[in-house]
Amino acid sequence: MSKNTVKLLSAILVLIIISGVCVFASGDGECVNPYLARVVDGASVLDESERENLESIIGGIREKYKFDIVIVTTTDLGGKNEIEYADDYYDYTGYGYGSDYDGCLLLLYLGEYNAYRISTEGYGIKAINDRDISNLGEDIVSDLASGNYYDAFRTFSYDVRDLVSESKNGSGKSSSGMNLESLPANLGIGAVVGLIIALIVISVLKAQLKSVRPQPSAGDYFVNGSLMLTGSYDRFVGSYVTRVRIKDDSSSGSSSTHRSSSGRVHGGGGGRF
Amino acid sequence: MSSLLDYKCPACGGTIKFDSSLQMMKCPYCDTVLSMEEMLPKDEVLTEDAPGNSGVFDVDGLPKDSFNWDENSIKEWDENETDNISVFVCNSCGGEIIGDNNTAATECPYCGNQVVVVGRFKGALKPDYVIPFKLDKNAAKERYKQHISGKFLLPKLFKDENHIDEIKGIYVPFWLFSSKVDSFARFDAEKVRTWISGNYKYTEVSTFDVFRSGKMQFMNIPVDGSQKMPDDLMESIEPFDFRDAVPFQTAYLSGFFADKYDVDDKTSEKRANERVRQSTIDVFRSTVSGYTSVRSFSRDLFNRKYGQMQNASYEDPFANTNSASSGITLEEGTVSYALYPVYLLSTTYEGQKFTFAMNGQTGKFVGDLPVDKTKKRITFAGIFAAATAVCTLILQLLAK
Repeated sequence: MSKNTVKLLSAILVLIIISGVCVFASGDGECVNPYLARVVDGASVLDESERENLESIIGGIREKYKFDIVIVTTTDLGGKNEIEYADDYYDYTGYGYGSDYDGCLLLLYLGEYNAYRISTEGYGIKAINDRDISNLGEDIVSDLASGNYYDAFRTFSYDVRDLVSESKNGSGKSSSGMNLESLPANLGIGAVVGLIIALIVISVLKAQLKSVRPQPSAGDYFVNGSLMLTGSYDRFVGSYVTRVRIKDDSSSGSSSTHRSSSGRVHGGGGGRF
Repeated sequence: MSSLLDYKCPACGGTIKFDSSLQMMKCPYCDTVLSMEEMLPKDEVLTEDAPGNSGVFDVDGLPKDSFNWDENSIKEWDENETDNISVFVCNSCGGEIIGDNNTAATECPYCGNQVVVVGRFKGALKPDYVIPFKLDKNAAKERYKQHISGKFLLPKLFKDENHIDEIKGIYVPFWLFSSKVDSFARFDAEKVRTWISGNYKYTEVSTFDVFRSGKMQFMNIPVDGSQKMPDDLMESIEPFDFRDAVPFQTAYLSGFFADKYDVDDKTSEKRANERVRQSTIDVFRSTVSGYTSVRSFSRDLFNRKYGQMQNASYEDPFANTNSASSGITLEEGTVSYALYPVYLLSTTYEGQKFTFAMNGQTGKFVGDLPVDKTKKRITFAGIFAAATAVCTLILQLLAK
């Protein structure tokens, strides 16, 4: 077998094992590989302390939000384009939280041209939509261009954390698993709706029993055709205009997705600088 | 001079009654049929002057205060109570028929003889019109059965304990008001427009002062002239179609009960005026179109909105003179007195009185029914529980 095939097969094997572990794990899907490095500085743009800081920031986010963030820099894409490289790196190295591999990866390529690529997967696709990706890009590109890589990566991590947190709070749920935490809330809403429905039904049934009501008008005794208008005007008095900002609701934006070579679905975007 | 009219069949002497399906007089014993024209001579007695209308009634030439009550029982009656009671002696069987001061037509409870109390319809008290019964007692019973069927919260006991045979056909006295009306109405109308531009949704509200005035006509608005007949019940069985009205003849009353009025036309006028006012507003309102919302004009609302406007420079033509939202002037108003046919049924359930009425001309049946409290509570609890469970389940599943 060629070296590449071996690499491929072992990667697939690793994937299977990890997925298997995830399936047999607890219903809440708590599985991620904590031993992998999340800051892989192939292009050597960070010094040791910067790398450690980033690792700890990312580690904290991963713990709290159950969301994996990876930062990779390289000077050699090995014949792939940034999209393929980023997706494959994420998939074959084994990043991702839970059975859907929730997380995202930021690739920085400094070679023939300079480019960044953000790849999302699992819950990442939902939490970070296309608009968010373009906002992320805007946030980091000036730092990347001016060589402030540490700042850029830090901003990236915090931005992703905010997006994930907002997304989770907005829907009030974790990324996978049946939702027992929100049962009391749902029960409350259900009870209110149930009450309203019951009240409506009972009023309708009670109204069935009532038929006596006074007749406020004499419409039945109006002589048809006897109306003769002697005066009429419709005059404009004035007007006013109000406006309401339409919420730029990024949580309802969409994410475009594609399949990577591993067969898994990724979202993402990038740019050159 | 006889003070009670009764209707005897010329062939067999039985009591002939008005038949609603034939719209003629019919004897239930020998099937003889008489037309209304043939009954006219009986009513000549009504054109004589009317006697006084209070208290004890002259009965067939007997002395005025002849109650002939037993001494003991007379002491128990209060003066007020006797004032409202009238007693008649039946021509056929001599039985005493008891009514009140308004009873104008009734039935002897002993022999079924139909009597009309002449004095109650004499002279100025003679009704102008009557709408004869178009539906008979059986139709009323059927409609009652329909009325109580299909009502989920009706107590079963109520349905079982029915007194439907006690349905009485009564001619209720009404005042009919007709007039030409010159009126106006003013409205506050709005047009709302919305559009989206950039990141904003814009809403523009334009206010219009809308005015309409004109003439229209109303004919025969009925207002119930009987105090003991609830007004809302009588209004609920409307409308009555005046096209079926005929000049009054006492013969129509045979077989039914009737009262004369005890609320005069001046008092009834108020109700008619209210209804006319509301109708003129409705008619004018129907001529206003093209707006998002239309309301009756109110000075306060107008001033408040005016303050909010961005480009207002409006001169209110009524600014100093009139803040009213409508006004009516009646012209050529007339009043007539008519008897309208109503079937009535009263029943008591759990200490409460329930009255049902059916329009004797159109068949419209109304009457409030009691609520089965237990069934209501159980149904409420059941639906509440079921709806809550279903909603919660849906919400849980959506979260996945």
